[in-house]
Amino acid sequence: MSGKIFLGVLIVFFSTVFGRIKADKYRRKMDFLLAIEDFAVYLKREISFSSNTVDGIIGNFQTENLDALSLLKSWLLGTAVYPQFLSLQERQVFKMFFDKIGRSNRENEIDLISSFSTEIKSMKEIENEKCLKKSNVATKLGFFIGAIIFVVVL
Amino acid sequence: LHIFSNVVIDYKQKGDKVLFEVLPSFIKSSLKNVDFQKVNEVRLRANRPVMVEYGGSKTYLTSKGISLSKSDAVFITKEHIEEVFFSLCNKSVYAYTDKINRGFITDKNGLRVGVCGECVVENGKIINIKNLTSLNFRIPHAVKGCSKKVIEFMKNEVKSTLIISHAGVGKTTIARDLVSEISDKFLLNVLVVDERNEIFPLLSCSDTVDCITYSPKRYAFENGIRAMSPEVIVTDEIYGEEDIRCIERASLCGVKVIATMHGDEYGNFYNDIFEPLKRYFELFVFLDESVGKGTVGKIINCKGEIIYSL
Repeated sequence: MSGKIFLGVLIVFFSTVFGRIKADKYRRKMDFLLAIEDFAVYLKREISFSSNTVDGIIGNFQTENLDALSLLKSWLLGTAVYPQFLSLQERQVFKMFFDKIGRSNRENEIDLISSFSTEIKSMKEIENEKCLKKSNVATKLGFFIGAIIFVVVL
Repeated sequence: LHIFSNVVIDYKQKGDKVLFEVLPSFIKSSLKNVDFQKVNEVRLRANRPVMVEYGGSKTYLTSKGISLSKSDAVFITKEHIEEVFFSLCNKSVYAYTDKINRGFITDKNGLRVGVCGECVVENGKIINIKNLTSLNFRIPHAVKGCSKKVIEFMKNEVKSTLIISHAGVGKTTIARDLVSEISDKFLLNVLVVDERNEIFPLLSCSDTVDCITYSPKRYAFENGIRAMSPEVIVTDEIYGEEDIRCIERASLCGVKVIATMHGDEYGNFYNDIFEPLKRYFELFVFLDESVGKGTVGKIINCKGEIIYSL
């Protein structure tokens, strides 16, 4: 009996963790969008008030978000690599921005960053809703599935 | 005094390093077969063959090196030119707009790249150049001792000197060498007013040399004289009345000026603009391309007397 209880507890634990991992997928995208939004604000400020190059600006930009960092680094190396969790349409928005950044005069750059920021903002709003709904559901669902299996095992 | 016969400074490494960083791979591999010490210019024109000015001759770049024949020439597209330009601007065209609007970019190693394209003009001022069609890489040279003939006429004191020739004959190279020579020989404070950052990067830097880069001459002369108290100012490519006024002000302050100027042959110069300039310069140095680049052909003094002729 105690063996079954132990197994059941393990199943609940792992299914909750699985649910949590699924929930993190939504949070990860949200965190990424927040970091990119910060980057856009920083980039706009630097381009407006300094003659620092995009390389230098990226070098000075500080974020703990690894997805954002890896995207920016890949752009520096020549080919931007976008995170897998972005949809095709979202990827297109990012591509439009990263293909054009640095290629024009200051006024055009600022316009480009502003419209990119607007796009990110709307992506963020949609993602925030999804995140609130789905991440909670995923965590709870993981727990409940585990609990059901636990009852069945008992 | 053929400047290409005794290249001593590592411009080669600097010049080709920059070129090799920005050019498309098929041009890089072709240029690897070219002796860079003899390259003055590399010209990229949209949908045209890549041309190399090599030891004074215009040649085509081929996959095996250079050739006088167009048949095997390497061609470059507009898209390639835009990519090269983007790399030259360190992926940040906006940071170079002021320079681009003046028709060139200079990188940190002194490699000057002329830019041609469609100018966007607002209120009579160029605000952008788009749809680029041509890039001209001018490879800088630093040749120790190439100003020897001019220095011979400055035995006891530095003389205000104007170096005159067509483009690409070696004016800047001689001016650059004069900076080192004057600083080392006379131990005078030399201020280099380097509007395009062409003189300073390849300068074998001496102890008494200061440099103001990328500033219009007017500001550099005013602020430089006030702040740095130079005894000699060296500047490149004077043009128009404003530049002459800068030199006039420097002369009034007792500062010797060494400058370069695009100019025609001696006769035309003498008839047209010698009179107003003789008040500010003591020596007029004419380079003679027919003998070889960087060759001093004639030197005249402020009285108009020829004191040296090749």
